[in-house]
Amino acid sequence: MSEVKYFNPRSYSELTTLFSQLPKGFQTVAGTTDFIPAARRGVKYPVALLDISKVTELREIKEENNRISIGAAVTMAELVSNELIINQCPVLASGAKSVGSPLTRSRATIGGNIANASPSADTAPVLLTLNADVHLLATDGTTRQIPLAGFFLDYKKTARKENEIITGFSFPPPGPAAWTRFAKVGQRNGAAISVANMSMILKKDGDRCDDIAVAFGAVGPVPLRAASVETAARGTIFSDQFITACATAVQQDISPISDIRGSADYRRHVAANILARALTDAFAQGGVK
Amino acid sequence: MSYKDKKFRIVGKPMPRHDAWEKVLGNTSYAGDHEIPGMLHVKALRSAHAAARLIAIDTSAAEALEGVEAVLTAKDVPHNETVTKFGQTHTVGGFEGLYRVLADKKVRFYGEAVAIVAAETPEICDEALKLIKVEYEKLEGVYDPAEALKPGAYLVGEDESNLVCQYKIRKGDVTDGFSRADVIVENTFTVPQVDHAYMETECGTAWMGEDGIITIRASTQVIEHFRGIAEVLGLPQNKVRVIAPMVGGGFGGKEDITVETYLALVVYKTGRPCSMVWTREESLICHGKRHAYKMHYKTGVTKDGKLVAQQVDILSDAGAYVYLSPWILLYSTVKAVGPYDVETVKVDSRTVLTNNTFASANRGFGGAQVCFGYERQMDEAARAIGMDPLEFRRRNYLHQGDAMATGRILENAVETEATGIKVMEMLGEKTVSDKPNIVIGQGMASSMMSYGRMTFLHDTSRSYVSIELDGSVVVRCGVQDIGCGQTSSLASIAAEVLGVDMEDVTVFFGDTSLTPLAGTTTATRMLYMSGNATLKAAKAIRDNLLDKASKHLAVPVAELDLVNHQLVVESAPERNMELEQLVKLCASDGVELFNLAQFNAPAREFMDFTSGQGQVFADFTFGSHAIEVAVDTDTGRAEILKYVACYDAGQAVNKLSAEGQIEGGAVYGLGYGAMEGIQYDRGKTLNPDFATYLIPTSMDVPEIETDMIESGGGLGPFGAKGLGEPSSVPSAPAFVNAVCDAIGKSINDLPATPEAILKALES
Ligand SMILES: Cc1cc2nc3c(=O)[nH]c(=O)nc-3n(C[C@H](O)[C@H](O)[C@H](O)COP(=O)(O)OP(=O)(O)OC[C@H]3O[C@@H](n4cnc5c(N)ncnc54)[C@H](O)[C@@H]3O)c2cc1C
Repeated sequence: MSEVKYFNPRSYSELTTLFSQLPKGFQTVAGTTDFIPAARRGVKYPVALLDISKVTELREIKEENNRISIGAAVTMAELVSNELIINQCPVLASGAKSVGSPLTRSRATIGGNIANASPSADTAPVLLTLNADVHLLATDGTTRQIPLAGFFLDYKKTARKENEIITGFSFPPPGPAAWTRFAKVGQRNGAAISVANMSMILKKDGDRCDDIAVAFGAVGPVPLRAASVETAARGTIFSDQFITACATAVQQDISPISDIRGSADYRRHVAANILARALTDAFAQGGVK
Repeated sequence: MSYKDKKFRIVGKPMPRHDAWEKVLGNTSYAGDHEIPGMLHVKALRSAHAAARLIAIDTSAAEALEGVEAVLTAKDVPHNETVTKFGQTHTVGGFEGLYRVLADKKVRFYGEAVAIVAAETPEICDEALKLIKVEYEKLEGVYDPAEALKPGAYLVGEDESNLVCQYKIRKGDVTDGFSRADVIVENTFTVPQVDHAYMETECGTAWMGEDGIITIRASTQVIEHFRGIAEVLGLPQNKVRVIAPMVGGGFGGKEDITVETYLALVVYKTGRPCSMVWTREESLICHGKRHAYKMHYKTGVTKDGKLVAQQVDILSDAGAYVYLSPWILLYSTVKAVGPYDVETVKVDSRTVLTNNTFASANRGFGGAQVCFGYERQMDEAARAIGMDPLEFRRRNYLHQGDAMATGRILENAVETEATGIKVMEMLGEKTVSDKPNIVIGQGMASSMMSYGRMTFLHDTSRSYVSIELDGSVVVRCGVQDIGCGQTSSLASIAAEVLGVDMEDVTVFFGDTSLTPLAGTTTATRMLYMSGNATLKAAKAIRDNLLDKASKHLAVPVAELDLVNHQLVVESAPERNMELEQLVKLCASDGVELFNLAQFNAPAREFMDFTSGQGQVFADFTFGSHAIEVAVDTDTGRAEILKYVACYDAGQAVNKLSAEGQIEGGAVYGLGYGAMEGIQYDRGKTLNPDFATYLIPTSMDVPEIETDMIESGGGLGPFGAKGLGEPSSVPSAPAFVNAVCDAIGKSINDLPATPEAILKALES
């Protein structure tokens, strides 16, 4: 067996000074909850592993200039229990809470969830509805920041270049007036991969849908914003027809396939149903949440 | 005092298991924990095709790899093929199956072992496996039992037909029965192959003992496979020893040989110790599963709820090798109409070879499949005549003294009705939904499940009990402890009879060279068989002790008892004696302080093949489960709100363990009902890991409320019945019946996944 080089920097400066030693074809890892199962299925080990899970600066959650930023190495467990997230962005805590089991959540990172780019990644629709940016750092030291909406290119393909590391995400908090929901349909309660998931951030003005962001996962090659639904909903007065229109519109946004976890038909059904349920609940609940 | 009238000190109480702490602390050494200095690692090369001709195997490159000690194929096995009467101790016709150690000439299933490699490290094994060149000629194969029965079908094995065996039962004339029915209900039910999903995969170590005995320490439910292993190696049976340490779950999956022959073969060929541990993928792909069945039920009922006719047709997928398929099918056939008194019965059943992974024993042994059939059918029939499901069952339950469809009179306790009434009472009023997308339903299921092996097998068990000079007690019994408390219950029994505490009893178990053979830990037979043997042995010692004391103190035996390490003289407590003192007295007088007892189960000849009439089982355990579910009509997800179960345990030996069995059984059956199923694409397993083969997690398991009736009417020690398998059988139909009640639609296929439920809802 060939040797795999392993790098385990503890700080941002350690990380950047390592760059010169990193061989071409290195792979960044964090919690390894996607990496290890893939290796077990026979995916080849890279020449070197860059483990960023201990980089202090990448483990921070903070608010600056009315933007929340989350380091790539923040774990799902940390998101679930972080005060800032719970208060300002509960929909992300609820997405993170739905990931795997306690064991998984204590290792799985948000950076890994997005970098891995599984269509069913549970934090992806949430970050999409939050209009989050992805922060990238290349091994030549350059950084860039791109909207997550443009990050997922195709099934498991992203805009991240081979020499880039995700350092984190940032987004404006949805604000106290927003009604939010994360919904997940899995085959069981514990440690379930989404057959469909959805995040919704909705601002209403009485019976009118003022603004809405809806994203779905596991119903197409990539996690996606439901543009047709948003168009149909924005500015519309809540009614039964409104619900039907949105549930119909979602079928244009999604393109599910059948796999071991569920059929395309089932995915189409539940995507429409969880969307309709969220909209109904959003307007049934008098105040804002 | 006669032992029968005694008030129990230990039996029937909720006692922590004697092995619990060591397990919780991680100190128990399971088969896979064992390491031997210098041991080789053994891995199997598994077939990449479900049906193929083996043209050539070239192992030379693998053999040349440094660190490889042996690469073995079929030609290296002294007797690669043996005809086994699987697990059998008494010869009858028609139950033999081919046991093939390594694939030869023709591959029958995806994952079948083609070669094994023994090397210095697991990594070298992996490298070597890649270097073995196998030339296959892909064959078409057959994957559906109905297809496999058609004339001209692809032949899975070497015989002229894929049919393994068939049975029938005839009671009266069903045509006549149906003519008296007001309503006839007909349904087809399908149930998939499922895995045992034990925590510990198949594993073990082996070495050549200094005595020249090939010794195998493996995770198994049957140490008596030493006979089969010896046959494969061409050795006398007394040259192979099998040890079963604590087993990390069996559920029937370790009833057949798994790693044992491979390990023995490596020791035989190399003389070196070795270890083999299957991966989860190997366990899920290659090892025997619960049979997939297609069952057709046609039921005739009168308006007032009497079952007048039941016609059942069962088609079982045996998979690629026979293994225990005929036995399992017989279980299903005998139990096909469940714990009900039906006026006329016609059952026909067949099991057929296909190129799917072979199927064999799995908790319930054919009982779980048919229970799904008859209990779904009971609900459908009740609905058809507009009768409450419990009321309908009550009008048809079998009672003590009634005859089954096989003509067998149920002479022992039959408390099915009491358990049925009890569970519906425990379930209570149906919860009212407060959400528009949630519908709530309730469902129940009752079952009859045998404990103990089929009576024509003339089953026996042996146990040795002795009392040491300090009053501590030893039990030696060749049981395999698969986690259900098999050894702990023997400690309870010996402690109860000899007046000591459970901690004072050491149970040596599971070693063919040191413990008297006790048979298999299968068929819910261990408490019944070895419990009785241990009871018999302990009583013999007790008799010796009391007899000596009676003479010594000149007090009649009837006034003596053994309690809390003391000989108690009831009429004169001042003359009580320490147990240790009494034991020493006996020892110096040459009174026997040990006993080796054998318990023989009631033996019968085989049932009449033409009519299916006769006695097949010694006795049955009866019980019921009831479930309340909340179904989300948006997603089809069914959340269990309440789960209750009640059994006639006969006599619980350890209340805590008995409850644990019922709870575990409920969870096991719930997986069958709600999510489990091996999926195939032309014989290739599509869900070979726990990311895709789903079993219930702690988040999916509700609080399970259990209750027990203790009729004292079982054949086990103190009137105990068996709970291991019976406790899991009615779970799936109870779940599906509850879901059907909630959605007002029928679901006749397992598993009832959210997707299946949503589909039914929208049909
Ligand atoms: C039992 C179990 C249950 C699971 N359940 C869920 C679930 O319910 N929902 C869900 O969404 N996921 C689930 N997952 C998948 C997984 O846990 C998540 O995707 C997790 O967030 C991945 O994070 P990680 O830190 O473990 O990633 P790793 O495994 O370390 O990496 C994943 C991938 O991302 C790359 N990568 C990681 N970090 C970076 C970075 N900073 N920059 C660039 N590339 C990077 C790696 O190279 C790799 O390709 C489950 C996994 C397991 C084992």
